[in-house]
Amino acid sequence: MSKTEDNKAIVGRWFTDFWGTTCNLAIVDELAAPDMLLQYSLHAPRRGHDDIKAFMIGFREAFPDLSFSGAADLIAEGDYVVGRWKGGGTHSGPAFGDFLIGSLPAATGRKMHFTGTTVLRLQDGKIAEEIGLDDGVTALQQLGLMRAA
Amino acid sequence: MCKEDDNKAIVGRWFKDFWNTPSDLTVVDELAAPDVLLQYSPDTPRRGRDAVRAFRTSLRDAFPDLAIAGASPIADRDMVVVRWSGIGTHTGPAFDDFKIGPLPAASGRTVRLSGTTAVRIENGKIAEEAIWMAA
Repeated sequence: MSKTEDNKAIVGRWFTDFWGTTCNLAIVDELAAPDMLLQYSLHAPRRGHDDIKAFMIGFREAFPDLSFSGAADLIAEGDYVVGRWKGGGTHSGPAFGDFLIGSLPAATGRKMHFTGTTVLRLQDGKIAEEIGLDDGVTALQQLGLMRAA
Repeated sequence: MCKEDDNKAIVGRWFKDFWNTPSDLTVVDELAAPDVLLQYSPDTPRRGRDAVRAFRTSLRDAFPDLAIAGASPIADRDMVVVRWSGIGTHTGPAFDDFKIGPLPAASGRTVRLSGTTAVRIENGKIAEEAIWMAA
Protein backbone atom coordinates (compact mmCIF):
# COMPACT_ATOMS: atom_id res chain seq x y z
CA MET A 1 0.00 0.00 0.00
CA SER A 2 1.12 3.55 -0.62
CA LYS A 3 1.70 5.93 2.27
CA THR A 4 -1.53 7.78 1.57
CA GLU A 5 -3.45 4.50 1.63
CA ASP A 6 -1.75 3.58 4.92
CA ASN A 7 -2.64 7.00 6.32
CA LYS A 8 -6.26 6.63 5.24
CA ALA A 9 -6.44 3.26 6.98
CA ILE A 10 -5.10 4.82 10.19
CA VAL A 11 -7.59 7.67 10.06
CA GLY A 12 -10.42 5.26 9.24
CA ARG A 13 -9.62 3.28 12.40
CA TRP A 14 -9.32 6.52 14.40
CA PHE A 15 -12.71 7.78 13.24
CA THR A 16 -14.33 4.44 14.10
CA ASP A 17 -12.72 3.83 17.48
CA PHE A 18 -12.40 7.40 18.79
CA TRP A 19 -15.38 9.15 17.20
CA GLY A 20 -17.73 6.28 16.31
CA THR A 21 -20.72 4.74 18.05
CA THR A 22 -18.55 2.93 20.57
CA CYS A 23 -15.31 4.39 21.82
CA ASN A 24 -12.16 2.41 22.51
CA LEU A 25 -9.70 4.80 24.12
CA ALA A 26 -6.82 2.32 23.73
CA ILE A 27 -6.79 3.67 20.17
CA VAL A 28 -5.25 6.89 21.54
CA ASP A 29 -2.15 5.04 22.77
CA GLU A 30 -1.99 3.10 19.55
CA LEU A 31 -2.51 5.78 16.90
CA ALA A 32 -1.92 9.22 18.44
CA ALA A 33 1.54 10.78 18.55
CA PRO A 34 2.56 11.51 22.17
CA ASP A 35 2.08 15.26 21.70
CA MET A 36 -0.87 15.07 19.33
CA LEU A 37 -2.90 18.27 18.95
CA LEU A 38 -6.70 17.91 18.83
CA GLN A 39 -8.50 21.09 17.89
CA TYR A 40 -12.19 21.66 17.09
CA SER A 41 -14.05 24.94 16.76
CA LEU A 42 -16.41 24.33 19.66
CA HIS A 43 -13.79 23.23 22.19
CA ALA A 44 -10.49 24.40 23.61
CA PRO A 45 -7.51 22.67 21.95
CA ARG A 46 -6.20 19.50 23.64
CA ARG A 47 -2.69 18.12 23.49
CA GLY A 48 -1.20 14.73 24.38
CA HIS A 49 -2.71 11.32 25.16
CA ASP A 50 -4.06 12.09 28.63
CA ASP A 51 -5.63 15.38 27.63
CA ILE A 52 -7.23 13.86 24.52
CA LYS A 53 -8.62 10.90 26.47
CA ALA A 54 -9.99 13.24 29.15
CA PHE A 55 -11.71 15.27 26.44
CA MET A 56 -13.46 12.24 24.97
CA ILE A 57 -14.40 10.77 28.36
CA GLY A 58 -16.06 14.04 29.35
CA PHE A 59 -17.76 14.45 25.98
CA ARG A 60 -19.27 10.94 26.11
CA GLU A 61 -20.33 11.22 29.75
CA ALA A 62 -22.39 14.25 28.79
CA PHE A 63 -23.52 12.81 25.41
CA PRO A 64 -23.61 9.00 25.94
CA ASP A 65 -24.97 8.31 22.44
CA LEU A 66 -22.31 10.51 20.80
CA SER A 67 -21.45 9.22 17.36
CA PHE A 68 -19.79 10.67 14.29
CA SER A 69 -19.23 8.95 10.97
CA GLY A 70 -17.77 9.69 7.58
CA ALA A 71 -19.92 11.60 5.11
CA ALA A 72 -17.63 11.07 2.11
CA ASP A 73 -14.51 9.17 1.07
CA LEU A 74 -11.30 10.20 2.82
CA ILE A 75 -9.02 12.53 0.85
CA ALA A 76 -5.26 12.09 1.24
CA GLU A 77 -2.05 13.55 -0.12
CA GLY A 78 1.41 13.58 1.40
CA ASP A 79 1.14 13.63 5.19
CA TYR A 80 -2.47 14.84 5.19
CA VAL A 81 -5.82 13.09 5.36
CA VAL A 82 -9.08 15.00 5.15
CA GLY A 83 -12.37 13.59 6.40
CA ARG A 84 -15.87 14.98 5.97
CA TRP A 85 -18.20 13.80 8.70
CA LYS A 86 -21.61 14.07 10.27
CA GLY A 87 -22.97 13.13 13.65
CA GLY A 88 -23.89 14.33 17.09
CA GLY A 89 -25.62 13.10 20.21
CA THR A 90 -28.10 13.71 23.00
CA HIS A 91 -27.13 15.57 26.13
CA SER A 92 -28.49 13.16 28.74
CA GLY A 93 -25.48 13.13 31.07
CA PRO A 94 -23.98 15.52 33.61
CA ALA A 95 -23.54 19.24 33.18
CA PHE A 96 -21.14 19.98 30.34
CA GLY A 97 -18.78 22.93 30.39
CA ASP A 98 -16.39 22.11 27.59
CA PHE A 99 -18.00 24.26 24.91
CA LEU A 100 -16.07 27.51 24.65
CA ILE A 101 -19.27 29.51 24.37
CA GLY A 102 -21.06 28.32 27.51
CA SER A 103 -22.19 25.46 29.74
CA LEU A 104 -25.12 23.06 29.70
CA PRO A 105 -26.80 22.12 32.99
CA ALA A 106 -27.18 18.36 33.63
CA ALA A 107 -29.35 16.23 31.35
CA THR A 108 -30.96 18.88 29.18
CA GLY A 109 -32.11 16.16 26.77
CA ARG A 110 -31.13 18.44 23.91
CA LYS A 111 -29.84 16.90 20.71
CA MET A 112 -27.15 18.17 18.38
CA HIS A 113 -26.55 16.96 14.85
CA PHE A 114 -24.05 18.70 12.63
CA THR A 115 -21.39 18.28 9.96
CA GLY A 116 -17.78 19.25 9.47
CA THR A 117 -14.44 18.65 7.86
CA THR A 118 -11.27 17.61 9.63
CA VAL A 119 -7.68 17.79 8.41
CA LEU A 120 -5.29 15.32 10.04
CA ARG A 121 -1.51 15.37 9.71
CA LEU A 122 0.33 12.08 10.15
CA GLN A 123 3.93 11.52 11.01
CA ASP A 124 5.60 8.11 11.07
CA GLY A 125 2.28 6.31 11.12
CA LYS A 126 0.86 8.32 14.02
CA ILE A 127 -1.63 11.16 14.11
CA ALA A 128 0.28 14.35 14.93
CA GLU A 129 -2.53 16.82 14.47
CA GLU A 130 -6.31 16.77 14.06
CA ILE A 131 -7.85 20.14 13.24
CA GLY A 132 -11.57 20.22 12.56
CA LEU A 133 -13.98 22.85 11.38
CA ASP A 134 -17.67 22.30 11.72
CA ASP A 135 -21.03 23.88 11.38
CA GLY A 136 -20.75 24.51 15.10
CA VAL A 137 -23.24 27.38 15.10
CA THR A 138 -25.90 24.82 14.18
CA ALA A 139 -24.94 22.61 17.13
CA LEU A 140 -24.90 25.54 19.53
CA GLN A 141 -28.33 26.69 18.35
CA GLN A 142 -29.71 23.16 18.72
CA LEU A 143 -28.35 23.02 22.26
CA GLY A 144 -29.76 26.42 23.14
CA LEU A 145 -26.32 27.89 23.73
CA MET A 146 -26.73 30.38 20.90
CA ARG A 147 -29.86 32.01 19.53
CA ALA A 148 -30.64 31.92 15.84
CA ALA A 149 -29.65 35.19 14.21
CA MET B 1 0.21 15.97 -15.57
CA CYS B 2 -1.89 13.64 -13.51
CA LYS B 3 -5.50 14.39 -12.77
CA GLU B 4 -4.73 15.66 -9.26
CA ASP B 5 -2.28 18.23 -10.67
CA ASP B 6 -4.84 19.36 -13.24
CA ASN B 7 -7.43 19.72 -10.50
CA LYS B 8 -5.02 21.69 -8.29
CA ALA B 9 -4.38 24.06 -11.19
CA ILE B 10 -8.13 24.60 -11.62
CA VAL B 11 -8.60 25.32 -7.93
CA GLY B 12 -5.54 27.58 -7.88
CA ARG B 13 -7.09 29.67 -10.64
CA TRP B 14 -10.44 29.63 -8.84
CA PHE B 15 -8.86 31.05 -5.70
CA LYS B 16 -7.03 33.72 -7.67
CA ASP B 17 -9.80 34.75 -10.06
CA PHE B 18 -13.01 33.99 -8.15
CA TRP B 19 -12.04 34.57 -4.54
CA ASN B 20 -9.49 37.34 -5.09
CA THR B 21 -10.59 39.12 -8.29
CA PRO B 22 -14.33 39.62 -7.91
CA SER B 23 -14.34 42.56 -10.34
CA ASP B 24 -14.37 40.07 -13.21
CA LEU B 25 -16.38 36.93 -12.60
CA THR B 26 -16.16 35.50 -16.13
CA VAL B 27 -14.10 32.76 -14.49
CA VAL B 28 -17.39 31.28 -13.26
CA ASP B 29 -18.42 30.43 -16.83
CA GLU B 30 -14.98 29.09 -17.59
CA LEU B 31 -14.32 26.92 -14.53
CA ALA B 32 -17.64 26.14 -12.84
CA ALA B 33 -20.09 23.51 -14.03
CA PRO B 34 -23.51 24.93 -15.06
CA ASP B 35 -25.14 23.43 -11.95
CA VAL B 36 -22.21 24.19 -9.60
CA LEU B 37 -23.12 23.96 -5.91
CA LEU B 38 -21.55 26.42 -3.48
CA GLN B 39 -22.16 25.10 0.01
CA TYR B 40 -21.02 28.02 2.10
CA SER B 41 -23.60 27.48 4.78
CA PRO B 42 -25.60 24.25 5.01
CA ASP B 43 -28.79 26.31 5.20
CA THR B 44 -28.26 28.46 2.13
CA PRO B 45 -26.65 26.49 -0.66
CA ARG B 46 -26.08 28.38 -3.92
CA ARG B 47 -26.81 26.37 -7.04
CA GLY B 48 -25.80 27.41 -10.54
CA ARG B 49 -23.44 29.97 -12.05
CA ASP B 50 -25.75 32.96 -11.56
CA ALA B 51 -26.32 32.20 -7.86
CA VAL B 52 -22.58 31.73 -7.30
CA ARG B 53 -21.79 35.03 -9.05
CA ALA B 54 -24.49 36.82 -7.04
CA PHE B 55 -23.05 35.48 -3.78
CA ARG B 56 -19.53 36.61 -4.65
CA THR B 57 -20.84 40.02 -5.73
CA SER B 58 -22.70 40.58 -2.45
CA LEU B 59 -19.59 39.56 -0.55
CA ARG B 60 -17.50 41.97 -2.65
CA ASP B 61 -19.97 44.80 -2.08
CA ALA B 62 -19.79 44.27 1.68
CA PHE B 63 -16.02 43.61 1.87
CA PRO B 64 -14.42 45.26 -1.19
CA ASP B 65 -10.86 44.61 -0.03
CA LEU B 66 -11.37 40.99 1.01
CA ALA B 67 -8.20 38.99 0.29
CA ILE B 68 -8.03 35.22 0.64
CA ALA B 69 -4.79 33.25 0.85
CA GLY B 70 -4.78 29.49 0.41
CA ALA B 71 -2.24 27.01 1.80
CA SER B 72 -0.90 24.10 -0.25
CA PRO B 73 -3.82 22.08 -1.57
CA ILE B 74 -4.48 18.44 -0.71
CA ALA B 75 -5.68 16.61 -3.81
CA ASP B 76 -6.99 13.08 -4.16
CA ARG B 77 -8.95 11.79 -7.17
CA ASP B 78 -11.72 14.31 -7.88
CA MET B 79 -11.32 16.30 -4.63
CA VAL B 80 -9.09 19.26 -3.79
CA VAL B 81 -8.99 20.59 -0.22
CA VAL B 82 -7.58 24.02 0.59
CA ARG B 83 -7.09 25.56 4.00
CA TRP B 84 -7.28 29.34 3.71
CA SER B 85 -7.31 32.55 5.65
CA GLY B 86 -8.69 35.91 4.69
CA ILE B 87 -8.95 39.47 5.83
CA GLY B 88 -11.32 42.22 4.77
CA THR B 89 -12.88 45.46 5.89
CA HIS B 90 -16.63 45.77 6.06
CA THR B 91 -17.20 49.11 4.33
CA GLY B 92 -20.21 48.18 2.21
CA PRO B 93 -23.90 47.48 2.80
CA ALA B 94 -25.27 45.48 5.69
CA PHE B 95 -24.23 41.84 5.42
CA ASP B 96 -26.54 39.20 6.83
CA ASP B 97 -24.93 36.09 5.46
CA PHE B 98 -22.88 35.21 8.51
CA LYS B 99 -24.89 32.65 10.40
CA ILE B 100 -23.67 34.03 13.68
CA GLY B 101 -25.43 37.34 13.08
CA PRO B 102 -25.78 40.27 10.68
CA LEU B 103 -23.37 43.18 10.33
CA PRO B 104 -24.98 46.64 9.97
CA ALA B 105 -23.96 48.74 6.95
CA ALA B 106 -20.37 49.99 6.78
CA SER B 107 -19.46 48.81 10.25
CA GLY B 108 -15.82 49.53 9.38
CA ARG B 109 -14.88 46.31 11.12
CA THR B 110 -11.88 44.32 10.01
CA VAL B 111 -12.92 40.71 9.69
CA ARG B 112 -10.39 37.90 9.84
CA LEU B 113 -11.68 34.63 8.52
CA SER B 114 -10.19 31.22 8.14
CA GLY B 115 -11.55 27.96 6.94
CA THR B 116 -11.29 24.80 4.93
CA THR B 117 -12.73 24.37 1.46
CA ALA B 118 -13.37 21.09 -0.30
CA VAL B 119 -13.79 21.35 -4.07
CA ARG B 120 -15.07 18.51 -6.24
CA ILE B 121 -14.03 18.58 -9.90
CA GLU B 122 -16.05 16.77 -12.51
CA ASN B 123 -14.97 16.65 -16.16
CA GLY B 124 -12.54 19.52 -15.62
CA LYS B 125 -15.17 21.82 -14.05
CA ILE B 126 -15.92 22.74 -10.46
CA ALA B 127 -19.04 20.79 -9.51
CA GLU B 128 -19.14 21.60 -5.81
CA GLU B 129 -17.35 23.84 -3.34
CA ALA B 130 -18.06 23.21 0.33
CA ILE B 131 -16.73 25.74 2.82
CA TRP B 132 -16.30 25.42 6.57
CA MET B 133 -15.33 28.52 8.46
CA ALA B 134 -13.55 28.67 11.78
CA ALA B 135 -15.84 30.04 14.47
